[in-house]
Amino acid sequence: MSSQTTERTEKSNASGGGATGLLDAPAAAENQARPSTMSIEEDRETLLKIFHQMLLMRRFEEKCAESYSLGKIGGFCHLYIGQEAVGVGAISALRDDDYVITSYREHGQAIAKGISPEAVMAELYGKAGGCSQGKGGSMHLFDSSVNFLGGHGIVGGQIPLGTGVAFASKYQETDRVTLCFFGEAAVNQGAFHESLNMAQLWKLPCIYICENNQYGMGTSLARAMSLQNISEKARAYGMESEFVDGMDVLAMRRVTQRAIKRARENYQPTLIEARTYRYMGHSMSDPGNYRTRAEIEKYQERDPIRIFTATLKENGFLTDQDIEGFEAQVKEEVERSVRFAEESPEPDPSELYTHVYANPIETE
Amino acid sequence: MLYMSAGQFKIPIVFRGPGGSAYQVSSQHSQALESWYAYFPGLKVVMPSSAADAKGLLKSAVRDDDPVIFIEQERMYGMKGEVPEDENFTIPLGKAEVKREGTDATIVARSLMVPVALKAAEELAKDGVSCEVIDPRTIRPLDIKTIVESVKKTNRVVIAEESHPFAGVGAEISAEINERAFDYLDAPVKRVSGVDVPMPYAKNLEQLAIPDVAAVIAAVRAVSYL
Repeated sequence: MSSQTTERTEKSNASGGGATGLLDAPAAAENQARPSTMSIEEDRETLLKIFHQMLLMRRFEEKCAESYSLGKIGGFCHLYIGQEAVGVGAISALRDDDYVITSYREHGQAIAKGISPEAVMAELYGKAGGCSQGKGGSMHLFDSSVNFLGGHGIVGGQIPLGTGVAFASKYQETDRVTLCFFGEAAVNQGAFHESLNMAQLWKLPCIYICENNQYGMGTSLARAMSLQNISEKARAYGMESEFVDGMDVLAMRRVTQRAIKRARENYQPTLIEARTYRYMGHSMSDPGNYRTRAEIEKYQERDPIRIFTATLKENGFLTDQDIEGFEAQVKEEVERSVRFAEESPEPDPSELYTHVYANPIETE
Repeated sequence: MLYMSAGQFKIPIVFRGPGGSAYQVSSQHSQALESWYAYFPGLKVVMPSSAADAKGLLKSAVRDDDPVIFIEQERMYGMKGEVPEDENFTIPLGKAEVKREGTDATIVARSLMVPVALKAAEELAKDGVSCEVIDPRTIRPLDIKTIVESVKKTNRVVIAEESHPFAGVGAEISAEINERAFDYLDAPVKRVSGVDVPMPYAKNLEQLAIPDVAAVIAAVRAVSYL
């Protein structure tokens, strides 16, 4: 196994991409946007909801890129383009009262969990109508009413938090589960290892989803990680694991459903490694000189939305006319979110001082 | 998280543990880090100096909805004292206590330095110097009002702490007194802090590193120009 990994690493380094992944699979030509091999168990309504969410995420993130370039969004802006299947697929399997906690690349997951595009865009614009009233920004979206616990900027910081949320669910004797998303670079953080050890030891209902997009900012996985098969690491903790093609939304959904069952029924945590790819840079300030145009284009052949479109069309769930309808709908939703953000007021200056303490104490 | 989420998620937790010096446990286990925690807006920092205070403050900390760092001085775990039996005995957070009333000089002390300050005050009283000893009990949010009221009365302040002086709690209190009560001061605010070195293991060196009664007495004399 280890010699195979070395071989892949050398090969991918030679190609200039520096990443191991689906690109190096034996028959790369087969990795076109063919339909998913998953059997369809969902009804049309569910499938179209998933399709709509993925498309909405894509167009929303494209709009964010535009708004950022116009100076409407400031600071950091990390786009989810290319990774939609992971967020939508996983979250589609949840109950409303389950929890999601994630990294700073979370616009898509926030929308999938139920935060309105308006509230997200207004937050990015730093307006009072944002889901965090303008105090969080792109990296810190929060909404307790849909059990979305952020939005965290510290790499891997959300992993012990997610573990704790799962602990609380068990302590409170509920069957709620927690999805904890993070990137592959976060796996190198000590907190990842501590959390998985504790989760398995104490049997916590936490589902750890590693979105392996193969680059930690500009550093390829091959340069940062000794054992690159992340799902294998679960063995170190005696934990169940799954490896999934993160470009296939149905595959993602299936794997998450299995993990949710384990967590809900047996308090058994799971580590899921979802291989995916981001088409845009790490953030809007990424010059992108660590990977080739050719590599990106190769991965775009397996665009998750194209794959799912092909799947739905082949099975008679979607026509070209339907797609046009969805594009129009999503266009309106995105434009509405921008209008809302534009019209939303800035936070009142007095808000600078609020929410520091839950129990403020008068000492003056 | 409370701030970033605009109040949606509060973190009602208490982290309690030992801080400050013990006996010869060397540099990694002798650190007084209250200024590190007190730095962050949103954390509360509490330091009891007696058994009764420990009970009352801990209960308040647990009942408080904010994250509280509750620092118990390791040497003081062996100290005995009267503790009210009432299950609901609480001491409010953010409220300093005047442990001893006086008129000539104010000593602001916390944690390990409280018994040291009280001893020093006893000794100085024999020489006719009346010291007021104030224990903030809560470091953050700090009850600066009680401290300033005392300074306005005595006009002289010594701050006693076992932590290092640089960017410490004493430095913060000194800055606050300067801003609020400059005109009432007859001498600069004086800090008596732990020596600015990592804690050594050797018994004799460790003793030199931590302020003792003599050091506090000397400081009070200095600000009193005695």
